Amino acid sequence: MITTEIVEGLTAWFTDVYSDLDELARGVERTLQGAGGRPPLATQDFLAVKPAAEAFLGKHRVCEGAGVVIQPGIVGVEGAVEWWVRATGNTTSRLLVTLNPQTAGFYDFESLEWFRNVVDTGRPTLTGPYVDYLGMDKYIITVTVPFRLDGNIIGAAGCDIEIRSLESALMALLRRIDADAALVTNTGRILLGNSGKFLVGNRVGELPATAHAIDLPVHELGLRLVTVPRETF
Amino acid sequence: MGQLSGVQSQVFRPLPDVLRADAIVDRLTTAIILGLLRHGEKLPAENKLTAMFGVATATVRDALQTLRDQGIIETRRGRSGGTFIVGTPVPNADQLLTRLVNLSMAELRDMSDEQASNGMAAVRLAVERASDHDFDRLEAIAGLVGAADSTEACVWADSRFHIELAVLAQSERLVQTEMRLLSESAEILWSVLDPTADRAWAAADHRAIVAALRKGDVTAAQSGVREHITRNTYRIVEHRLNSMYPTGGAR
Repeated sequence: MITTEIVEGLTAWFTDVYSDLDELARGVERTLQGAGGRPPLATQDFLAVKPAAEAFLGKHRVCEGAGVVIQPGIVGVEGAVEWWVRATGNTTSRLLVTLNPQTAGFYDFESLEWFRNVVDTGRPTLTGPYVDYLGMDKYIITVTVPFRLDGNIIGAAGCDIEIRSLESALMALLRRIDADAALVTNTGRILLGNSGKFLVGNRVGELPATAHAIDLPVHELGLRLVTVPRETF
Repeated sequence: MGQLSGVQSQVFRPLPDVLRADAIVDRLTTAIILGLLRHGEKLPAENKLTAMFGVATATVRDALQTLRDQGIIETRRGRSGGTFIVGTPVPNADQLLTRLVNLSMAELRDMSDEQASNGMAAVRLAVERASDHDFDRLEAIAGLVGAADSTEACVWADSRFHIELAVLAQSERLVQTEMRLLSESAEILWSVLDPTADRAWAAADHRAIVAALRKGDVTAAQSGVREHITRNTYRIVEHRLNSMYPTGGAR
């Protein structure tokens, strides 16, 4: 029912995002190493992030923002959020966040899933879909990979993808499946469905015996393509 | 202003670019679309509108001129003069499809969630607050959509029922929210549904909700609302996807 072509297409799409994020991370890591960077680092040690993020956003039109986030203690006591968001035209603007825990708007990125998971597991992650009311006020997923210095994980490099854009990018592929199909995250939540049955954000729930699930081999993210015979109501 | 945190920048995010005159145009247009103001009806006099909307006379004049330019109202002189509704701001099928296509799956789901939430809140309060007499009236309204003989009439009748639910909740806010939601969705819904084939189940859904309300069964009334909205959303999503991504004989 699902052609290998579709599975490969979805896999290739996500793999491409991850490998370019890795490249972004490695590039910035190299400039740090080159400068003999040792913690504590300063914000100006991360000047390489902006051009790297802009190059990434230039290639991945589907992404809203990209950058590097560094743990507290490595850069000052508060850490650093070097994140560049698509602005009008081909420009970007820096995401402004408050890293002072004493303020009401404290952006506690250390507790956020997309940061915590990468730092704890050292593995690429996909977080969401979620409403990012602290950052971009949009319905997004965040994709992150580890950021290292001297082999130690000190933060994450990542990008945000609006669900709306994800739909534009992948729906045509999903619509080629002759069944109700959904792309599902490791938490069982629907990222994208090809019919009115599977709506984004819903948990896919218990599947009938007629369902098929295929794991997408993308960095052990636990992404699955689920299909059930088409039914209308 | 210097650096704002993420949350603070939300407070200062740009206001929607709707001027007061535009807001009046939107309000009246919505009311006409939802059938709350009908063809041939006379609008209150200008000084009354000014007082009711709480705006300057010039603002009301601007709004009325816009509606006049769009052929929606007409002002007649003389003894039986006044400003009358003469046209309906009915978008054509292409415009409605464009609106639908521009809504993402996430936005459609979100809109559906808000409609279900508002409707479920309304029925819960209606059980506590409405009288038998209210339910009699609601029942009459529930069946209207079943007899509606055009897309436009279906929009009116269907909207009337959903607004009335919020009215029975005795909540201005729920009524306002419902009207906003209907102004975004009712025309799209009935451009997707077939008045002849689909009005019957719409009416049956409405009646089932009334029956549950009469029994004071909040759970049944709420699941009735939810299933009704879910089915509408399913039909809208399917229509959008089929028109954007037609897939040959498979579908």
